[in-house]
Amino acid sequence: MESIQKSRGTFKQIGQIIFWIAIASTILVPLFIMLCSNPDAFMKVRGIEYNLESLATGERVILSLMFILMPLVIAFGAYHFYKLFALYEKGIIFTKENIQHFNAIGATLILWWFVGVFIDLGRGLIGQHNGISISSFQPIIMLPTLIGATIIQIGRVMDEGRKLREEQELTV
Amino acid sequence: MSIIITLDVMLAIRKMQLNELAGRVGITAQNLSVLKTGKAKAIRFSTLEEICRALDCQPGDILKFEPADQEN
Repeated sequence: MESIQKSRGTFKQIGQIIFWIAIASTILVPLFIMLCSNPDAFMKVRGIEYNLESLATGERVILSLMFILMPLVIAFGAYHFYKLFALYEKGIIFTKENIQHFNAIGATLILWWFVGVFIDLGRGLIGQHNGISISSFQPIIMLPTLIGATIIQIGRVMDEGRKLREEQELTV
Repeated sequence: MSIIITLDVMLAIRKMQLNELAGRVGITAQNLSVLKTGKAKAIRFSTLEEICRALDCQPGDILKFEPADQEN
């Protein structure tokens, strides 16, 4: 029992660390892109290097967004992961709060896929403007979306469990 | 819910306290309070049997059916 409690605590801490790393990168990397005026500064996005000095303001905004969105999604997921395991640590399982965090984790994985598509499109757009030919987009893998949808479904099953538990508690 | 619990009426008729009934039935006063206030979602036959035995009444004396939409 104690080891389970301990592992739940570890998961909670990992979630917390990922959350803060994601938040820090959300703020710092785009700031670097927007403010950088060093001609030697390069930014690598999915295997392609861009010279920041050569980018127009609009392109810099798109590149910043490409860097902001993914850490934001990760921070969102990590926050809910942390909150979920904080509840598990307290022994709270079948509650509305738990199910909300569960659904949020599922939604994070679906969002992950959409952000991946956006990054690929942005990468192509900036590459085209800068004379870098990108023959094809990286294969879009739907796996995170499927896992996300499955997690949301499990959340629904847990909601049914919560209703059953509530009913059992109110049976005299 | 259309099922109305009239346990408080029976308790008043029998001049019995909730705690005393809980002791006789063998359930906690909190659980009995849940039943009395109408928050309960279900009642076990065994509990109903014990309540009827303790209050010397019929199930119909503590349970009433009143349809929710009475438009007539």
